[in-house]
Amino acid sequence: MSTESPAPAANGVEPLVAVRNLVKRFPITRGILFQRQIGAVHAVEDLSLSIAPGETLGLVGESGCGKSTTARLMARLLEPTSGSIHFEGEDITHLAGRAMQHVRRRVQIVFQDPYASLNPRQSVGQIIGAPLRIHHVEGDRRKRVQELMEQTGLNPEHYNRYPHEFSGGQRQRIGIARALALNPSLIVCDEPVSALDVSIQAQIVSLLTDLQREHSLTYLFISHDLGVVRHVSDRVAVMYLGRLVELTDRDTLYENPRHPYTAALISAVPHGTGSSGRRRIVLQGDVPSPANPPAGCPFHPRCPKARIISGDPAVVPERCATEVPQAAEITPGHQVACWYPLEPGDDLIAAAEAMAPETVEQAEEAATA
Amino acid sequence: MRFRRDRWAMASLVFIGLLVILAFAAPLIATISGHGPNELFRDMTDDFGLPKGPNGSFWFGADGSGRDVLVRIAYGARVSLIVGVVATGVAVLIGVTLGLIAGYRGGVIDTLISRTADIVLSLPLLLFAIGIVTACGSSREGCFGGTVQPGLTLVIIVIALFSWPYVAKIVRGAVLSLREREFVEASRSVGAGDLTIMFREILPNLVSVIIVYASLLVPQNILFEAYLSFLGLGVPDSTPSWGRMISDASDIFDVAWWLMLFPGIFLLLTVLAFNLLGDGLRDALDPKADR
Repeated sequence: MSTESPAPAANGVEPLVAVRNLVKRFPITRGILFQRQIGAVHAVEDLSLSIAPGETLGLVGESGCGKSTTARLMARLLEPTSGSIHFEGEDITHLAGRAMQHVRRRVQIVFQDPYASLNPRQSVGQIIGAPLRIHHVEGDRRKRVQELMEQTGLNPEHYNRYPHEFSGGQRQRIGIARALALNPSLIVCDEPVSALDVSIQAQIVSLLTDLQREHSLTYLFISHDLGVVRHVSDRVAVMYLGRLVELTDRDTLYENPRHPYTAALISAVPHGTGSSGRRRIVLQGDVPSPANPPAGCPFHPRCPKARIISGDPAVVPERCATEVPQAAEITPGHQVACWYPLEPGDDLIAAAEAMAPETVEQAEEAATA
Repeated sequence: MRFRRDRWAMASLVFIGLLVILAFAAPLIATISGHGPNELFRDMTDDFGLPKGPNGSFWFGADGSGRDVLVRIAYGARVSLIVGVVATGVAVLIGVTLGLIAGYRGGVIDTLISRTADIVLSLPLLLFAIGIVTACGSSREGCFGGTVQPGLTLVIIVIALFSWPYVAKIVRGAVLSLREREFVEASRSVGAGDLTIMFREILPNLVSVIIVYASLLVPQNILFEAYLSFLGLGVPDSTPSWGRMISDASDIFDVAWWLMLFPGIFLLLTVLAFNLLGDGLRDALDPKADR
């Protein structure tokens, strides 16, 4: 795998942003006087992906799989442990000072919690105007802020109001207006609608898609809500325990997933109509701790496909338990990190049901020992 | 506003307001009564040198030297308020700055500042204050090559020196939780530097904590000045001070009760008023309550 030049995005054009072999580990320390490191949380492991200009890349996964860490790495709010981030062809992995300020104007982030992400002691005008002030943007700042408020569906007359006077949805609009202030090209949306009421989610999603069209924005759209991701994304990446497990265009991912984890995730989405008779792939066991991930494929202790290959619900193929599968293209534009991608006819439902919880626990213990 | 409905706090505010007027009007009271603060009235002491109690001209009586207690209390209010407010102001300034830096930067800087605060807090405060004031106040030139003069300034410096750690610790604790909030991250993501984040994002969220704590520190510092003056280490003898008045009264308390009673009541009420005001402000400024 080349680490020098970023690989082209799916459609062959130069990617706007490309991350290569990104790793983020948080040290776990113990001791009062002398802190010594006793381990590390493997938040993001060997993650590579790229986003084309104007594209929306969805990023899904369970809580704690490293989605938010990825968002913060891409927005350079966290320093990666290793790997690289290229933005507009430039290596920004360890950029600092003035050069970084330039990148900050181009990459913005919308946060999950619209209550925590707005300073309660600042007026809306101050919050949205802060990026303009910090970057010494010329011109009538008040006028620009009110313009942004209008674009995001806020009443410009509320310029002097404080965040607590707004509802959750309006607060998220304030967060979006702040992210737009400097005309960025990439906006990292870290679960932008997860904290909102369902009726408000649709409004915010449609605001984001409208803004994308008007300002030719590129989104990294992170969510654990597969329905929302399907609605907004061009391509979708799935993460499990800090690793990319599958990445392809939206329709292929939802209709023809090749990674057993993706298949299980998608089968768990509740459907509005006629779902009562549909059977789901019910995975046994819990997500292992990222502080002590299993050896080999991170998914192997819970993987039903591995049991289909071995033919025994209590046994996994040796390769799954010892070697980490790299994300590889199995068809053009479709990356899967699995030794035995799904084939038509694989009955994951039956295989998952045949697995007893104890065998999963045993496999986990064996893998992390 | 909730503060208006807090009757104790409102009464305290009124009392503090009257006290401020009293302090400002001290020369006026002296002029009207015709008794200067250091003027000795022979006819207010008897043949044995004992002072006479309250009468129509001397409402609060006279002290052992024949000075008007009421006028001296009015002048004493100036010292108490100046020391209480200025020393607290200096302590808050130092405490907020160091607490903000310690909480925000963490690491070695935090350890350094926090341990310094711990050491200052564990010093036997009164003993040390007495030591410093004695050393610096023993001669006219003061100490440190004349930079620290005896008198009001010295008292203020000593008190501020011993009260900033309280403020620093409270501010540090608040900053520790504030800096992890998402709005700080949001600010960093738009390119804000450390100073902008500390002073524009975090500091405004500390205002209510600081106001409440300062209003609780004022009475503590007023008492501190009274202790020092009681021990004869506060302001110079010619400046009336409540602590020194109480100290002087302790010799002849059994024959001249008014000498102890009036300054004592004023000190008690002033400290009580500031404490109640602080409690009222804390309730009124609690951010959880106004939602």
